[in-house]
Amino acid sequence: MIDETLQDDAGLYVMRLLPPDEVVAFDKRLAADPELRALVEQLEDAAGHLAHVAPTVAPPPALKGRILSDIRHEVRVIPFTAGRKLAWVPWALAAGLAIAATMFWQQASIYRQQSVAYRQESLSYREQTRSQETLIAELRSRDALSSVQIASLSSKLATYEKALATVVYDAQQQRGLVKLDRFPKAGAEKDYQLWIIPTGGNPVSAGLVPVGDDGLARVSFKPTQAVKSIDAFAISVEPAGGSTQPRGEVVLVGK
Amino acid sequence: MSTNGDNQRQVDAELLSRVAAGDEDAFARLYDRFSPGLYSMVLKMTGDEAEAQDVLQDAFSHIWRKAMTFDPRRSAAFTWAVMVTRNKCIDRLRVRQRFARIAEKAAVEEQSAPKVDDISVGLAELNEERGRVRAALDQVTQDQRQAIELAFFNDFTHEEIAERLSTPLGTVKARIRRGLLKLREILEGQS
Repeated sequence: MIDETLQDDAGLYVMRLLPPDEVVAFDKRLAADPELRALVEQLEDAAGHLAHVAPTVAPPPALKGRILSDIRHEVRVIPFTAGRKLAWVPWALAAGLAIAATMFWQQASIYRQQSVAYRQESLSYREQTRSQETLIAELRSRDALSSVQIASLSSKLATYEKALATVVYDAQQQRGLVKLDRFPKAGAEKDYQLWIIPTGGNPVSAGLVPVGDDGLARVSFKPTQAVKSIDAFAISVEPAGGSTQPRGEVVLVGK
Repeated sequence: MSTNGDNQRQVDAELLSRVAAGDEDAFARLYDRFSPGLYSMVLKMTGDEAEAQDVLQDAFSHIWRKAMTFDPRRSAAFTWAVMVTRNKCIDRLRVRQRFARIAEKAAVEEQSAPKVDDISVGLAELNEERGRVRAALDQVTQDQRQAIELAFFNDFTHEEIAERLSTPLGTVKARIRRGLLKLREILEGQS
């Protein structure tokens, strides 16, 4: 015979009203006490009927489709149950293992190939970046005493992670050259625009930089007004035709 | 879930065992049979249609994944599904700390939501069952009825229920247990 306090706890347990620490103790007791289990089952049975007390409302028809679509994408492990015939089990396991091994081998092979490709690509990027940096260093040392400024622009945006931009600018001549590589298209009705940011002044447009389908651009430029002291160069995405001041997103900056 | 009791229970248990074996058609049929009852319950608990749909989605996903844990000797398939769904609903309410707000809401207004008449399978049975449970609840004492409805459709603690009913805690616990057992006894006597 279950004492009355425990019977009351069974009611709270079914209704999920027992505090969490008491649930653990109750679960242990439940596992060991068939009479208590029977009581909980009776109480659950009664609670199950209470669902019908709610005013009847149909779920929206689209919900069924969503749920059916969900379960089709779920991976489910169907456990072995004792009542089934056992003879096929070792064969099924062996077949499963063989299939899994083949799949893993194929997948591993794909990963290996991808890994080699990524490594090669990464090496190629590193080499190109290194050669560009070497060239910049050379140009810098060669023109150390001249008015030529060379800048390598970079971006923190994921889209422009691999983009390379180099600006060579001769302040005395007030003209320069910009070279872009691995640039995505600026987008419909958009253009890339180069800006010179003078020390203590507003950005000065250095013109549009049209990027080809190959992601490359090489453009000579002359700023719209003379700039003697430069803080930085920047490239932004502007409405087609460009802007007098940067209005769009600045995608690369450097000095 | 119906007046012709054992047959319906048998059908539901059979469907659930097919679901356990990965039968999507059985799952779709089970959805048609259970979803109006479960959705109505969750909607009453949450008072929010979008949330009720999310809960139902979670619950059916659980039913699909865990159908093999259902034991027909322990409970009816619908009772099992009610417990799964109610647990999902309570988890969600607790996580979102929404129950305090929801408790203030009135029960879902019947006229604000589409009625199920003739849209889904087994609706006549569902309505019949609703009438039967309502009639059984009317035979439970009012104190017990209040306690079990407050406990079932809300995420109150037993202390909160006691406070709302201005009744000692021990009395509330006993009312919930006795009310449930009485309800079961009445429903069993009817079938």
